[in-house]
Amino acid sequence: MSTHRELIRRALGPRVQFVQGDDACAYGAVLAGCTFFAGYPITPATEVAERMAEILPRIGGCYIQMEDEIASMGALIGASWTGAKVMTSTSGPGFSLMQENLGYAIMTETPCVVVNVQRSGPSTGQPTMGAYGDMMQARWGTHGDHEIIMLCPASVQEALEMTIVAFNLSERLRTPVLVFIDGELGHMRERLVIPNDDEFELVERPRATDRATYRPFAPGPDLVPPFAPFGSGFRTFVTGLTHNEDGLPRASSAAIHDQLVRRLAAKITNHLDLITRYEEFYADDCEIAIVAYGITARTCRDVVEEARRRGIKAGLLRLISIWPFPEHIVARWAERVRAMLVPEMNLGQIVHPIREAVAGRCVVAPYARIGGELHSPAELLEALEGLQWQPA
Amino acid sequence: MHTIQIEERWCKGCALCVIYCPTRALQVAARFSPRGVHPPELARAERCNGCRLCELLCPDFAITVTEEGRVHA
Amino acid sequence: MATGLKIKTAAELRTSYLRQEMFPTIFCDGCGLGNVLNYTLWAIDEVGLDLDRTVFVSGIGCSSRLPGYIDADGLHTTHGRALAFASGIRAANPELTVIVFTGDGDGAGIGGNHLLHTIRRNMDMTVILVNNFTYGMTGGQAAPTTPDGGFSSTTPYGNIEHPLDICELAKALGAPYVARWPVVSPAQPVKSIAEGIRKRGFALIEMLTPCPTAYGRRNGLKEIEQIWRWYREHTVLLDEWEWVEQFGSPEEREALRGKMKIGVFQDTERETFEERWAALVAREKL
Repeated sequence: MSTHRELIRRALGPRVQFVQGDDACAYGAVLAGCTFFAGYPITPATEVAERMAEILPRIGGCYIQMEDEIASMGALIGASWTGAKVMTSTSGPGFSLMQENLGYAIMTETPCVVVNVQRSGPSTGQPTMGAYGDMMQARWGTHGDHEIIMLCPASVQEALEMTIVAFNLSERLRTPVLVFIDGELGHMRERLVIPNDDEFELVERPRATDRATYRPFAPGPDLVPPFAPFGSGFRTFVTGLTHNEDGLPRASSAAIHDQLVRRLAAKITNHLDLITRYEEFYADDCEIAIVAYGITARTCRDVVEEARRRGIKAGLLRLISIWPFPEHIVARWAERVRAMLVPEMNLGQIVHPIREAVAGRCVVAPYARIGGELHSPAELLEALEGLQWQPA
Repeated sequence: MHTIQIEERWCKGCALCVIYCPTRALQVAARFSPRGVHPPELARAERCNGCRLCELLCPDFAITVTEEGRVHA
Repeated sequence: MATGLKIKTAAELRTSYLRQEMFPTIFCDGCGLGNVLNYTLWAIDEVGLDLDRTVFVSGIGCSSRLPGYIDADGLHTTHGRALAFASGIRAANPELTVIVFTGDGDGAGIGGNHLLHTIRRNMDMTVILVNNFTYGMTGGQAAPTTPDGGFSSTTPYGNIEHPLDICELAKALGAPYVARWPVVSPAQPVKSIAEGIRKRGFALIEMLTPCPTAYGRRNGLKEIEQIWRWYREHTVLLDEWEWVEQFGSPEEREALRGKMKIGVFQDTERETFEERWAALVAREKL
């Protein structure tokens, strides 16, 4: 009788594979212990669902294709409350549909992972072309005051790794976590090394142990309440209405609402040490920086190396966690550089929190490219050279 | 002999119990409850046969029929 | 199948099943939701459900407030989406019993698509759909079941849309158990809810329920005795309906218009999603 971990290994196949970013997300989920996927097909994320549909039955999990993305998110939350680790995948139009239930997951502190393989929008847009047009939507797509965690891998390998990290953060902090790639990264193939169990961490949500003192939404010292799955006899009432620590609706109370919503936000912002991820190149010796994320950052590696060859003191700050925004890291760079080039595959979204963090300490120059094509190294190099002449 | 207890914090004075009491043992009280509604009262206790239809029909679980002073719990 | 109901007292139900700190309920006086709650508790007591292993799921609306009053796991979700959340619970843990409370708007308006597909999949759950012909929580707007000509806050001149017959829809979709009862007679709803819980697969019990505040008041149904009589006079048992249609006089057939069919519309067997998924996993698991 195989253990679940043994089943996972057999289901995933060889240690080294040549797969798409979408596949890597699915593999990462399975490695993280995901046993439930509810989703809906949408280009360019469909492959994540297809992979999960193939793998989950083989490891005794459940794949259910719901009638739309709204139902997918709903089924995800229901399943998470039985104690399962859960995931869905979608793209822009589906992500838009998921917003209401995403807010519900935040409000009810339901762990879940949502992969958005971004495509060019708005609306139906360019279904097969990559873009990063949903970055702000990730932050503010659902209504009301809330925090959200969003990770932006830049390679197929990192897509697997960040999906595992997403599950860990989701379980640890009892909150939805978003993994954002794009159509390019989702559909390109790269070498993937599937890590062994001793090569990564696995985190489980904190469990309630004492029925007598159980209060479903009373926070622990780290602001995370203990979780009791449905069917465990703890009899939890879960609602999206403003609720007290017993989970009972108290929608008319300003004080309870204030306390709840602030705690939910602080629960995330108090744990930046767990969440913040980034990569730095030439940080100590940089005059002109590029701040980039996702597949765009891949191009920028090349640009920085070429710039260095031409004598420009260029550097790259690659953001991996986007939300909560790592303002302290950006601010640190702003102290040392004269200018920041911010290339984005959108008309300028993350450039706004960058500007806010920079607070005027250096020039911030966005470089927008939309239409589904990546920035070329040549054009970014030219932009970088242009920034050289900024006054210190 | 039966008596009734009304949970006056829960009773909304809808009078379903009074309307459908098969023996007309209940009537709407003239007084107000603390909620400002007229609760039921067992005006003709001798007519009450303990059928508990009032309990079955009460939307608020506000009425309890007790037999000879014992509450069925 | 026992036809007699074991007598339970309100006091017993209160202590065994209710989250008493949530009372008094938010429901208006004359609202039928309290009756639905009462009958549901009778039914689950009848069946002998373990409330440690039962989850009550709801959407948004007055009927969706019901899970809060029951001392069990409850999931009060987003408008129209209860069936999706419930499906997730059932698919992830088929050991849990799921009972859904929804309304005519929540369940068949915004929730229509989920109703369709949850029945199509035949997810094993009991859905108690409280039909008061209106969106009550928001003040009484027209709903998919608002009768022809019905007055509401958004049909101040009378409803021009054709109302949806939810039970006929569920029956056509193949739901193994479909029933409709008004709240005015307790025994049938209690029995149907118990049958629905016992039924393998999707069970729908539509409860015709008065809403004096939001619907009744605008449509000449204000007093509770009058309302309950209206339900008795305007609901006809299925077989009686069929008899009148076949053998009744033209006047008797005409009299059926403006009335609603009640009874058990369908009671069949059908493989559930959970059974089929388990069979698939048994075949494919490594």
